[in-house]
Amino acid sequence: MRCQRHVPQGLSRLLSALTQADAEVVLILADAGPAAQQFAGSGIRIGYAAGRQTRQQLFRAGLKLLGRPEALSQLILCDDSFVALNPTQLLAQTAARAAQLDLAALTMLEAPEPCLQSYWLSFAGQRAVSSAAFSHWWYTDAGDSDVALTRHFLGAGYRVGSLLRLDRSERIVALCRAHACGALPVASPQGDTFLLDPAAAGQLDPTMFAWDRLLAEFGVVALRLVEENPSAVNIVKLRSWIAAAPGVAPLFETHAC
Amino acid sequence: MLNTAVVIAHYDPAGRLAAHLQRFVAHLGSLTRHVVFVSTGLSDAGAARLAPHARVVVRDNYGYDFWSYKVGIEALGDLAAFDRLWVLNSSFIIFDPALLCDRLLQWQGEADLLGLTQSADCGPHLQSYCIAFRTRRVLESRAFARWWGQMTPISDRLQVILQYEIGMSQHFARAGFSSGAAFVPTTAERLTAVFRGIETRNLKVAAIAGEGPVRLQLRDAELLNPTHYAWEGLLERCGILKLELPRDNPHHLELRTLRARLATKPSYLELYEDALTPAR
Repeated sequence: MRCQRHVPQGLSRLLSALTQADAEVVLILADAGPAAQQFAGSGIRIGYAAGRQTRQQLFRAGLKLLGRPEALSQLILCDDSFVALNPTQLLAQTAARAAQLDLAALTMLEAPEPCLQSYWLSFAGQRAVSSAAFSHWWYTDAGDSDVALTRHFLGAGYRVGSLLRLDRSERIVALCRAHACGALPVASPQGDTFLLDPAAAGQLDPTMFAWDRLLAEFGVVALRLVEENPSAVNIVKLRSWIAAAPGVAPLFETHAC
Repeated sequence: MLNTAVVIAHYDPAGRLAAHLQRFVAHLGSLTRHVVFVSTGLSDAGAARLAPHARVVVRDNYGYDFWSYKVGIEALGDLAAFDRLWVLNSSFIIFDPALLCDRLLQWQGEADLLGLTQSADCGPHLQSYCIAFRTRRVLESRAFARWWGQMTPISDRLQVILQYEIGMSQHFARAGFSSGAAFVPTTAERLTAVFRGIETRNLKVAAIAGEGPVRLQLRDAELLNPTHYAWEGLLERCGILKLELPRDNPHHLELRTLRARLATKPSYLELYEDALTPAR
Protein backbone atom coordinates (compact mmCIF):
# COMPACT_ATOMS: atom_id res chain seq x y z
CA MET A 1 0.00 0.00 0.00
CA ARG A 2 1.03 3.53 -0.46
CA CYS A 3 0.21 6.68 1.36
CA GLN A 4 1.80 9.97 2.19
CA ARG A 5 1.95 11.73 5.55
CA HIS A 6 -1.28 10.53 7.11
CA VAL A 7 -3.12 7.23 6.76
CA PRO A 8 -6.79 7.99 6.41
CA GLN A 9 -9.52 6.38 8.45
CA GLY A 10 -10.81 4.14 5.67
CA LEU A 11 -7.38 2.72 4.94
CA SER A 12 -6.68 2.27 8.65
CA ARG A 13 -9.80 0.16 8.92
CA LEU A 14 -8.73 -1.97 5.99
CA LEU A 15 -5.28 -2.48 7.52
CA SER A 16 -6.90 -3.46 10.82
CA ALA A 17 -9.14 -5.97 9.09
CA LEU A 18 -6.11 -7.47 7.33
CA THR A 19 -4.09 -7.85 10.53
CA GLN A 20 -7.11 -9.26 12.34
CA ALA A 21 -7.34 -11.84 9.56
CA ASP A 22 -3.73 -12.79 10.41
CA ALA A 23 -2.43 -11.43 7.13
CA GLU A 24 1.16 -10.39 6.82
CA VAL A 25 0.88 -6.72 5.88
CA VAL A 26 3.41 -4.46 4.19
CA LEU A 27 2.61 -0.78 3.93
CA ILE A 28 4.59 1.45 1.60
CA LEU A 29 4.67 5.09 2.61
CA ALA A 30 6.21 8.16 1.04
CA ASP A 31 8.38 8.91 4.06
CA ALA A 32 8.85 8.24 7.75
CA GLY A 33 6.31 10.87 8.79
CA PRO A 34 3.35 10.68 11.16
CA ALA A 35 1.78 7.87 9.15
CA ALA A 36 4.64 5.57 10.05
CA GLN A 37 4.17 6.39 13.76
CA GLN A 38 0.52 5.42 13.48
CA PHE A 39 1.44 1.79 12.89
CA ALA A 40 4.33 1.41 15.30
CA GLY A 41 3.80 -1.85 17.16
CA SER A 42 0.91 -2.96 14.96
CA GLY A 43 2.84 -5.78 13.30
CA ILE A 44 2.60 -4.03 9.94
CA ARG A 45 5.91 -3.75 8.11
CA ILE A 46 6.55 -0.28 6.78
CA GLY A 47 8.55 0.51 3.67
CA TYR A 48 9.28 3.81 1.99
CA ALA A 49 9.16 4.89 -1.62
CA ALA A 50 9.91 8.54 -2.10
CA GLY A 51 9.04 10.53 -5.21
CA ARG A 52 6.57 9.83 -7.95
CA GLN A 53 6.25 6.15 -8.62
CA THR A 54 3.69 4.10 -10.43
CA ARG A 55 1.36 1.77 -8.60
CA GLN A 56 3.23 -1.25 -9.93
CA GLN A 57 6.61 0.16 -8.84
CA LEU A 58 5.17 0.61 -5.35
CA PHE A 59 3.86 -2.94 -5.35
CA ARG A 60 7.36 -4.09 -6.32
CA ALA A 61 8.79 -2.17 -3.39
CA GLY A 62 6.30 -3.87 -1.10
CA LEU A 63 7.06 -7.32 -2.46
CA LYS A 64 10.79 -6.77 -1.95
CA LEU A 65 10.09 -6.03 1.70
CA LEU A 66 7.78 -9.01 1.99
CA GLY A 67 10.41 -11.38 0.64
CA ARG A 68 9.68 -14.29 -1.66
CA PRO A 69 6.00 -15.17 -1.28
CA GLU A 70 6.16 -18.84 -2.32
CA ALA A 71 4.60 -20.00 0.92
CA LEU A 72 1.59 -17.77 0.64
CA SER A 73 -1.81 -19.16 -0.25
CA GLN A 74 -3.09 -15.72 -1.23
CA LEU A 75 -1.45 -12.41 -2.03
CA ILE A 76 -3.44 -9.20 -2.15
CA LEU A 77 -1.94 -6.07 -3.67
CA CYS A 78 -3.87 -2.87 -3.22
CA ASP A 79 -3.45 0.86 -3.02
CA ASP A 80 -5.28 3.74 -1.37
CA SER A 81 -7.28 4.90 -4.35
CA PHE A 82 -10.56 3.60 -2.97
CA VAL A 83 -12.58 3.48 0.22
CA ALA A 84 -13.59 0.10 1.58
CA LEU A 85 -16.68 0.73 3.66
CA ASN A 86 -16.69 -2.77 5.02
CA PRO A 87 -13.18 -4.24 4.83
CA THR A 88 -14.24 -7.51 6.38
CA GLN A 89 -16.87 -7.95 3.68
CA LEU A 90 -14.32 -7.09 0.99
CA LEU A 91 -11.85 -9.67 2.27
CA ALA A 92 -14.52 -12.34 2.62
CA GLN A 93 -15.88 -11.68 -0.85
CA THR A 94 -12.36 -11.72 -2.29
CA ALA A 95 -11.57 -15.03 -0.62
CA ALA A 96 -14.83 -16.55 -1.81
CA ARG A 97 -14.77 -15.38 -5.39
CA ALA A 98 -11.06 -15.33 -6.18
CA ALA A 99 -10.53 -19.02 -5.49
CA GLN A 100 -11.38 -20.04 -9.06
CA LEU A 101 -8.86 -17.60 -10.52
CA ASP A 102 -5.08 -17.43 -10.37
CA LEU A 103 -5.19 -13.67 -10.62
CA ALA A 104 -8.29 -11.66 -9.86
CA ALA A 105 -8.89 -7.94 -9.83
CA LEU A 106 -11.89 -6.47 -8.11
CA THR A 107 -12.80 -4.91 -11.44
CA MET A 108 -11.58 -5.04 -14.99
CA LEU A 109 -12.21 -3.59 -18.40
CA GLU A 110 -12.94 -6.15 -21.10
CA ALA A 111 -12.42 -3.99 -24.17
CA PRO A 112 -10.58 -3.03 -26.29
CA GLU A 113 -8.58 -5.72 -24.52
CA PRO A 114 -8.77 -7.29 -21.05
CA CYS A 115 -7.36 -4.97 -18.41
CA LEU A 116 -7.33 -5.81 -14.73
CA GLN A 117 -7.59 -2.71 -12.57
CA SER A 118 -4.67 -3.08 -10.22
CA TYR A 119 -5.97 -1.07 -7.26
CA TRP A 120 -7.01 -4.45 -5.84
CA LEU A 121 -5.36 -7.64 -7.10
CA SER A 122 -5.50 -11.08 -5.61
CA PHE A 123 -3.15 -13.92 -6.52
CA ALA A 124 -4.63 -17.18 -5.26
CA GLY A 125 -2.70 -20.40 -4.69
CA GLN A 126 0.98 -21.16 -4.34
CA ARG A 127 1.38 -21.76 -8.06
CA ALA A 128 0.21 -18.24 -8.78
CA VAL A 129 2.79 -16.64 -6.51
CA SER A 130 5.73 -18.90 -7.25
CA SER A 131 5.77 -19.07 -11.01
CA ALA A 132 8.48 -17.73 -13.24
CA ALA A 133 5.90 -15.39 -14.73
CA PHE A 134 5.16 -13.98 -11.29
CA SER A 135 8.84 -13.44 -10.56
CA HIS A 136 9.50 -11.93 -13.94
CA TRP A 137 6.74 -9.39 -13.55
CA TRP A 138 7.32 -8.35 -9.98
CA TYR A 139 11.06 -8.71 -9.55
CA THR A 140 12.14 -7.05 -12.77
CA ASP A 141 10.92 -3.86 -14.35
CA ALA A 142 8.75 -5.80 -16.76
CA GLY A 143 6.08 -3.14 -17.16
CA ASP A 144 4.02 -0.51 -15.46
CA SER A 145 0.58 -0.53 -16.95
CA ASP A 146 -2.50 -2.53 -16.06
CA VAL A 147 -2.86 -3.60 -19.68
CA ALA A 148 0.72 -4.92 -19.74
CA LEU A 149 0.21 -6.73 -16.44
CA THR A 150 -2.93 -8.40 -17.74
CA ARG A 151 -1.27 -9.38 -21.03
CA HIS A 152 1.69 -10.79 -19.15
CA PHE A 153 -0.29 -13.05 -16.85
CA LEU A 154 -2.78 -14.08 -19.53
CA GLY A 155 0.19 -14.97 -21.71
CA ALA A 156 1.61 -17.04 -18.89
CA GLY A 157 -1.58 -19.08 -18.75
CA TYR A 158 -3.01 -17.58 -15.59
CA ARG A 159 -6.75 -17.81 -15.12
CA VAL A 160 -7.51 -14.10 -14.96
CA GLY A 161 -10.78 -12.35 -14.19
CA SER A 162 -12.64 -9.86 -12.09
CA LEU A 163 -14.52 -10.37 -8.86
CA LEU A 164 -17.27 -7.97 -9.85
CA ARG A 165 -19.44 -9.61 -12.49
CA LEU A 166 -22.11 -7.60 -14.23
CA ASP A 167 -25.09 -9.47 -15.60
CA ARG A 168 -26.97 -8.25 -18.68
CA SER A 169 -29.24 -6.04 -16.66
CA GLU A 170 -26.33 -4.37 -14.85
CA ARG A 171 -24.48 -3.91 -18.11
CA ILE A 172 -27.48 -2.08 -19.49
CA VAL A 173 -27.59 0.15 -16.43
CA ALA A 174 -23.88 0.94 -16.92
CA LEU A 175 -24.41 1.72 -20.60
CA CYS A 176 -27.41 3.95 -19.88
CA ARG A 177 -25.34 5.74 -17.26
CA ALA A 178 -22.59 6.31 -19.81
CA HIS A 179 -25.07 7.55 -22.42
CA ALA A 180 -26.83 9.78 -19.92
CA CYS A 181 -23.63 11.60 -18.96
CA GLY A 182 -22.30 11.78 -22.51
CA ALA A 183 -19.40 9.40 -21.96
CA LEU A 184 -20.67 7.27 -24.83
CA PRO A 185 -22.05 8.80 -28.03
CA VAL A 186 -25.71 8.12 -28.71
CA ALA A 187 -26.71 6.71 -32.07
CA SER A 188 -30.07 7.60 -33.56
CA PRO A 189 -32.98 5.50 -32.33
CA GLN A 190 -34.55 3.11 -34.82
CA GLY A 191 -38.12 4.28 -34.86
CA ASP A 192 -39.41 4.04 -31.35
CA THR A 193 -36.66 1.78 -30.08
CA PHE A 194 -32.99 2.07 -29.24
CA LEU A 195 -30.64 -0.88 -29.51
CA LEU A 196 -28.22 -1.42 -26.69
CA ASP A 197 -25.66 -4.21 -26.73
CA PRO A 198 -24.84 -5.34 -23.19
CA ALA A 199 -21.44 -6.53 -24.41
CA ALA A 200 -20.48 -2.91 -25.08
CA ALA A 201 -20.39 -2.31 -21.31
CA GLY A 202 -17.06 -4.13 -21.31
CA GLN A 203 -15.35 -0.95 -22.50
CA LEU A 204 -16.60 1.01 -19.47
CA ASP A 205 -14.65 1.48 -16.27
CA PRO A 206 -16.75 -0.36 -13.66
CA THR A 207 -15.45 1.84 -10.84
CA MET A 208 -17.21 4.75 -12.56
CA PHE A 209 -20.13 3.25 -14.46
CA ALA A 210 -21.04 0.35 -12.18
CA TRP A 211 -20.27 2.17 -8.95
CA ASP A 212 -23.52 1.13 -7.33
CA ARG A 213 -22.88 -2.60 -7.92
CA LEU A 214 -19.31 -2.24 -6.65
CA LEU A 215 -20.68 -0.54 -3.56
CA ALA A 216 -23.51 -3.02 -3.03
CA GLU A 217 -21.43 -6.17 -3.53
CA PHE A 218 -18.05 -5.18 -2.14
CA GLY A 219 -18.59 -1.98 -0.17
CA VAL A 220 -16.00 -0.26 -2.36
CA VAL A 221 -16.06 3.24 -3.84
CA ALA A 222 -13.28 4.65 -6.02
CA LEU A 223 -12.09 7.95 -4.61
CA ARG A 224 -11.64 9.36 -8.09
CA LEU A 225 -15.36 9.01 -8.66
CA VAL A 226 -16.20 11.10 -5.62
CA GLU A 227 -13.33 13.57 -5.87
CA GLU A 228 -13.04 14.14 -9.63
CA ASN A 229 -15.84 12.25 -11.35
CA PRO A 230 -14.05 12.69 -14.69
CA SER A 231 -16.96 11.39 -16.80
CA ALA A 232 -19.58 13.43 -14.92
CA VAL A 233 -21.39 10.22 -14.00
CA ASN A 234 -24.60 10.71 -12.06
CA ILE A 235 -23.57 10.17 -8.43
CA VAL A 236 -26.32 12.21 -6.81
CA LYS A 237 -27.57 9.14 -4.95
CA LEU A 238 -24.03 8.20 -3.86
CA ARG A 239 -23.36 11.69 -2.52
CA SER A 240 -26.68 11.72 -0.66
CA TRP A 241 -25.87 8.34 0.82
CA ILE A 242 -22.35 9.35 1.86
CA ALA A 243 -23.76 12.44 3.56
CA ALA A 244 -26.56 10.58 5.34
CA ALA A 245 -25.15 7.17 6.29
CA PRO A 246 -23.73 7.10 9.82
CA GLY A 247 -19.94 7.22 9.93
CA VAL A 248 -19.44 7.15 6.16
CA ALA A 249 -18.62 10.78 5.31
CA PRO A 250 -15.43 10.82 7.46
CA LEU A 251 -14.06 7.90 5.47
CA PHE A 252 -14.07 10.14 2.40
CA GLU A 253 -13.26 13.45 4.03
CA THR A 254 -10.05 12.30 5.65
CA HIS A 255 -8.76 10.49 2.63
CA ALA A 256 -6.90 13.46 1.18
CA CYS A 257 -3.51 12.33 2.43
CA MET B 1 -58.07 37.34 -28.13
CA LEU B 2 -60.30 34.71 -26.55
CA ASN B 3 -61.77 35.59 -23.19
CA THR B 4 -59.55 33.70 -20.79
CA ALA B 5 -59.95 33.17 -17.05
CA VAL B 6 -57.01 32.09 -14.95
CA VAL B 7 -56.97 30.52 -11.48
CA ILE B 8 -53.63 30.29 -9.68
CA ALA B 9 -53.32 28.07 -6.61
CA HIS B 10 -50.59 29.38 -4.35
CA TYR B 11 -48.93 27.70 -1.41
CA ASP B 12 -45.90 28.85 0.49
CA PRO B 13 -45.22 27.75 4.05
CA ALA B 14 -44.13 31.28 4.96
CA GLY B 15 -46.78 33.05 2.92
CA ARG B 16 -44.13 34.46 0.62
CA LEU B 17 -44.80 35.63 -2.91
CA ALA B 18 -41.90 34.61 -5.14
CA ALA B 19 -40.65 37.21 -7.60
CA HIS B 20 -41.36 35.00 -10.62
CA LEU B 21 -45.03 34.65 -9.59
CA GLN B 22 -45.43 38.37 -9.19
CA ARG B 23 -44.01 38.90 -12.67
CA PHE B 24 -46.20 36.18 -14.09
CA VAL B 25 -49.39 37.59 -12.58
CA ALA B 26 -48.46 41.04 -13.84
CA HIS B 27 -48.01 39.57 -17.32
CA LEU B 28 -51.37 37.79 -17.09
CA GLY B 29 -52.93 41.06 -16.05
CA SER B 30 -51.91 42.45 -19.42
CA LEU B 31 -53.77 39.61 -21.18
CA THR B 32 -56.96 39.26 -19.18
CA ARG B 33 -58.86 40.95 -16.38
CA HIS B 34 -60.00 37.62 -14.97
CA VAL B 35 -57.18 36.32 -12.81
CA VAL B 36 -57.99 34.80 -9.43
CA PHE B 37 -55.04 34.12 -7.14
CA VAL B 38 -56.04 31.67 -4.39
CA SER B 39 -53.53 31.30 -1.58
CA THR B 40 -53.43 29.29 1.60
CA GLY B 41 -51.58 32.02 3.46
CA LEU B 42 -50.21 34.80 1.28
CA SER B 43 -48.78 37.73 3.23
CA ASP B 44 -50.60 41.07 3.16
CA ALA B 45 -47.61 42.57 1.38
CA GLY B 46 -47.78 39.88 -1.29
CA ALA B 47 -51.51 40.36 -1.73
CA ALA B 48 -51.01 44.10 -2.13
CA ARG B 49 -48.45 43.54 -4.89
CA LEU B 50 -50.87 41.34 -6.82
CA ALA B 51 -53.95 43.48 -6.31
CA PRO B 52 -53.53 45.57 -9.50
CA HIS B 53 -53.54 42.44 -11.65
CA ALA B 54 -55.59 39.78 -9.88
CA ARG B 55 -58.31 39.13 -7.41
CA VAL B 56 -56.65 37.60 -4.35
CA VAL B 57 -58.47 35.04 -2.22
CA VAL B 58 -56.79 33.81 0.95
CA ARG B 59 -58.18 30.62 2.46
CA ASP B 60 -57.26 28.12 5.16
CA ASN B 61 -54.64 25.54 4.29
CA TYR B 62 -56.38 22.27 3.44
CA GLY B 63 -57.32 20.39 0.32
CA TYR B 64 -54.15 21.11 -1.64
CA ASP B 65 -54.16 22.88 -5.01
CA PHE B 66 -57.35 21.25 -6.26
CA TRP B 67 -59.35 22.90 -3.51
CA SER B 68 -57.80 26.23 -4.43
CA TYR B 69 -58.73 25.60 -8.07
CA LYS B 70 -62.31 24.97 -6.97
CA VAL B 71 -62.40 28.08 -4.77
CA GLY B 72 -60.95 30.15 -7.61
CA ILE B 73 -63.38 28.80 -10.20
CA GLU B 74 -66.29 29.62 -7.89
CA ALA B 75 -64.88 33.11 -7.40
CA LEU B 76 -64.95 33.66 -11.17
CA GLY B 77 -68.74 33.42 -11.13
CA ASP B 78 -70.57 32.51 -14.31
CA LEU B 79 -68.16 30.65 -16.57
CA ALA B 80 -70.36 31.36 -19.57
CA ALA B 81 -68.45 34.63 -19.81
CA PHE B 82 -65.26 32.79 -20.69
CA ASP B 83 -63.94 30.91 -23.68
CA ARG B 84 -61.32 29.05 -21.70
CA LEU B 85 -60.09 28.54 -18.20
CA TRP B 86 -56.50 28.00 -17.17
CA VAL B 87 -55.66 26.55 -13.76
CA LEU B 88 -52.12 26.36 -12.49
CA ASN B 89 -50.33 26.16 -9.17
CA SER B 90 -47.17 27.57 -7.63
CA SER B 91 -45.13 24.35 -7.74
CA PHE B 92 -42.95 25.58 -10.58
CA ILE B 93 -40.83 28.58 -11.43
CA ILE B 94 -42.05 30.60 -14.39
CA PHE B 95 -38.96 32.23 -15.84
CA ASP B 96 -40.56 33.47 -19.02
CA PRO B 97 -44.26 34.36 -18.59
CA ALA B 98 -44.70 35.30 -22.24
CA LEU B 99 -43.22 32.01 -23.44
CA LEU B 100 -45.40 29.94 -21.12
CA CYS B 101 -48.53 31.86 -22.10
CA ASP B 102 -47.64 31.47 -25.73
CA ARG B 103 -47.12 27.72 -25.39
CA LEU B 104 -50.40 27.16 -23.62
CA LEU B 105 -52.71 29.81 -25.03
CA GLN B 106 -51.48 29.78 -28.64
CA TRP B 107 -51.32 25.99 -28.91
CA GLN B 108 -52.65 24.91 -32.29
CA GLY B 109 -54.36 21.61 -31.87
CA GLU B 110 -57.62 19.95 -31.08
CA ALA B 111 -58.09 19.28 -27.39
CA ASP B 112 -60.72 20.20 -24.84
CA LEU B 113 -58.19 19.91 -22.03
CA LEU B 114 -54.60 20.96 -22.55
CA GLY B 115 -51.93 20.21 -19.99
CA LEU B 116 -48.48 21.66 -20.25
CA THR B 117 -47.20 18.10 -19.72
CA GLN B 118 -48.65 14.63 -19.50
CA SER B 119 -47.53 11.38 -17.95
CA ALA B 120 -48.53 7.72 -18.15
CA ASP B 121 -47.34 6.94 -14.62
CA CYS B 122 -50.30 5.33 -12.77
CA GLY B 123 -52.38 5.77 -15.91
CA PRO B 124 -52.33 8.43 -18.62
CA HIS B 125 -53.05 11.88 -17.28
CA LEU B 126 -52.38 15.56 -17.72
CA GLN B 127 -50.19 16.87 -14.95
CA SER B 128 -52.40 19.11 -12.88
CA TYR B 129 -49.91 21.86 -12.07
CA CYS B 130 -50.87 23.52 -15.35
CA ILE B 131 -54.03 22.70 -17.28
CA ALA B 132 -56.29 24.67 -19.58
CA PHE B 133 -59.94 23.88 -20.20
CA ARG B 134 -59.80 25.35 -23.64
CA THR B 135 -63.24 24.92 -25.20
CA ARG B 136 -66.64 26.28 -24.29
CA ARG B 137 -67.90 22.75 -24.86
CA VAL B 138 -66.03 21.48 -21.82
CA LEU B 139 -66.60 24.57 -19.68
CA GLU B 140 -70.36 24.32 -20.22
CA SER B 141 -70.51 20.56 -19.80
CA ARG B 142 -72.21 18.63 -17.04
CA ALA B 143 -68.94 16.75 -16.59
CA PHE B 144 -67.22 20.02 -15.70
CA ALA B 145 -69.97 21.08 -13.29
CA ARG B 146 -70.05 17.63 -11.72
CA TRP B 147 -66.27 17.42 -11.33
CA TRP B 148 -65.88 20.69 -9.49
CA GLY B 149 -69.29 20.64 -7.82
CA GLN B 150 -68.87 17.24 -6.23
CA MET B 151 -65.30 17.79 -5.13
CA THR B 152 -64.53 17.44 -1.44
CA PRO B 153 -61.26 18.59 0.11
CA ILE B 154 -58.60 15.90 0.49
CA SER B 155 -55.56 16.68 2.59
CA ASP B 156 -53.50 13.61 1.78
CA ARG B 157 -51.06 14.33 -1.04
CA LEU B 158 -51.05 10.84 -2.54
CA GLN B 159 -54.84 10.68 -2.52
CA VAL B 160 -55.02 14.10 -4.19
CA ILE B 161 -52.75 12.80 -6.95
CA LEU B 162 -54.64 9.55 -7.41
CA GLN B 163 -58.19 10.86 -7.09
CA TYR B 164 -57.89 14.35 -8.47
CA GLU B 165 -54.82 14.65 -10.67
CA ILE B 166 -55.11 11.27 -12.36
CA GLY B 167 -58.84 11.06 -11.70
CA MET B 168 -59.57 14.34 -13.47
CA SER B 169 -58.09 13.20 -16.76
CA GLN B 170 -60.00 9.94 -16.51
CA HIS B 171 -63.22 11.76 -15.62
CA PHE B 172 -63.12 14.03 -18.64
CA ALA B 173 -61.95 11.24 -20.95
CA ARG B 174 -64.91 9.13 -19.87
CA ALA B 175 -67.17 12.07 -20.60
CA GLY B 176 -65.84 12.15 -24.17
CA PHE B 177 -63.49 15.12 -23.97
CA SER B 178 -60.14 15.07 -25.70
CA SER B 179 -56.86 16.06 -24.15
CA GLY B 180 -53.36 16.95 -25.23
CA ALA B 181 -50.07 18.30 -23.94
CA ALA B 182 -48.40 21.50 -25.05
CA PHE B 183 -44.93 20.17 -24.26
CA VAL B 184 -43.99 17.00 -26.09
CA PRO B 185 -40.44 15.72 -25.50
CA THR B 186 -38.39 15.22 -28.63
CA THR B 187 -37.09 11.79 -29.58
CA ALA B 188 -33.69 12.70 -28.13
CA GLU B 189 -35.33 13.89 -24.90
CA ARG B 190 -37.35 10.72 -24.60
CA LEU B 191 -34.23 8.63 -25.11
CA THR B 192 -32.37 10.67 -22.50
CA ALA B 193 -35.28 10.21 -20.11
CA VAL B 194 -35.13 6.44 -20.61
CA PHE B 195 -31.35 6.43 -20.01
CA ARG B 196 -31.88 8.45 -16.86
CA GLY B 197 -34.73 6.25 -15.70
CA ILE B 198 -32.68 3.09 -16.11
CA GLU B 199 -29.45 4.42 -14.64
CA THR B 200 -31.25 5.71 -11.54
CA ARG B 201 -33.12 2.38 -11.36
CA ASN B 202 -36.49 4.09 -11.54
CA LEU B 203 -37.28 2.33 -14.80
CA LYS B 204 -36.91 -1.39 -15.29
CA VAL B 205 -35.55 -2.76 -18.54
CA ALA B 206 -37.96 -5.21 -20.08
CA ALA B 207 -36.99 -8.31 -22.04
CA ILE B 208 -33.32 -8.60 -21.18
CA ALA B 209 -33.21 -12.38 -21.20
CA GLY B 210 -31.23 -14.18 -23.90
CA GLU B 211 -28.27 -12.87 -25.80
CA GLY B 212 -27.46 -10.02 -28.12
CA PRO B 213 -28.66 -6.44 -28.08
CA VAL B 214 -31.58 -5.23 -26.00
CA ARG B 215 -34.27 -2.97 -27.45
CA LEU B 216 -35.05 0.04 -25.25
CA GLN B 217 -38.56 1.35 -25.83
CA LEU B 218 -38.79 5.12 -26.13
CA ARG B 219 -42.44 4.99 -25.12
CA ASP B 220 -41.23 4.03 -21.63
CA ALA B 221 -40.32 7.70 -21.26
CA GLU B 222 -44.02 8.32 -20.78
CA LEU B 223 -43.78 6.49 -17.46
CA LEU B 224 -41.28 9.05 -16.23
CA ASN B 225 -42.26 12.47 -14.96
CA PRO B 226 -41.32 14.85 -17.80
CA THR B 227 -40.96 17.78 -15.42
CA HIS B 228 -37.99 15.90 -13.94
CA TYR B 229 -36.67 13.63 -16.65
CA ALA B 230 -37.04 16.14 -19.50
CA TRP B 231 -36.47 19.30 -17.48
CA GLU B 232 -34.07 20.82 -19.99
CA GLY B 233 -36.64 20.82 -22.77
CA LEU B 234 -39.32 22.23 -20.52
CA LEU B 235 -36.97 24.99 -19.41
CA GLU B 236 -35.91 25.77 -22.95
CA ARG B 237 -39.22 25.61 -24.75
CA CYS B 238 -41.70 26.60 -22.02
CA GLY B 239 -39.54 28.67 -19.69
CA ILE B 240 -40.42 26.76 -16.52
CA LEU B 241 -38.80 24.51 -13.92
CA LYS B 242 -40.54 22.41 -11.28
CA LEU B 243 -39.43 23.52 -7.82
CA GLU B 244 -39.37 19.95 -6.56
CA LEU B 245 -36.53 19.09 -8.90
CA PRO B 246 -33.76 21.25 -7.39
CA ARG B 247 -35.36 21.29 -3.95
CA ASP B 248 -35.82 17.54 -3.37
CA ASN B 249 -34.59 15.80 -6.53
CA PRO B 250 -36.56 12.68 -5.58
CA HIS B 251 -35.30 10.65 -8.54
CA HIS B 252 -31.65 11.51 -7.94
CA LEU B 253 -31.10 13.08 -11.33
CA GLU B 254 -27.85 14.77 -12.24
CA LEU B 255 -28.46 18.53 -12.18
CA ARG B 256 -24.94 19.84 -12.48
CA THR B 257 -25.73 21.74 -15.68
CA LEU B 258 -28.80 23.44 -14.26
CA ARG B 259 -27.19 26.60 -12.96
CA ALA B 260 -25.09 27.01 -16.09
CA ARG B 261 -28.22 26.75 -18.23
CA LEU B 262 -30.06 29.26 -16.09
CA ALA B 263 -27.12 31.64 -16.28
CA THR B 264 -27.42 31.84 -20.06
CA LYS B 265 -30.79 33.64 -19.85
CA PRO B 266 -31.34 37.07 -18.41
CA SER B 267 -32.88 37.03 -14.90
CA TYR B 268 -33.37 33.24 -14.79
CA LEU B 269 -30.74 32.66 -12.12
CA GLU B 270 -32.02 35.55 -10.05
CA LEU B 271 -35.61 34.25 -10.16
CA TYR B 272 -34.39 30.74 -9.40
CA GLU B 273 -32.51 31.82 -6.29
CA ASP B 274 -35.43 33.91 -5.14
CA ALA B 275 -37.85 30.99 -5.59
CA LEU B 276 -35.59 28.63 -3.67
CA THR B 277 -35.09 31.02 -0.77
CA PRO B 278 -35.92 28.94 2.29
CA ALA B 279 -39.07 29.82 4.21
CA ARG B 280 -38.29 32.18 7.07
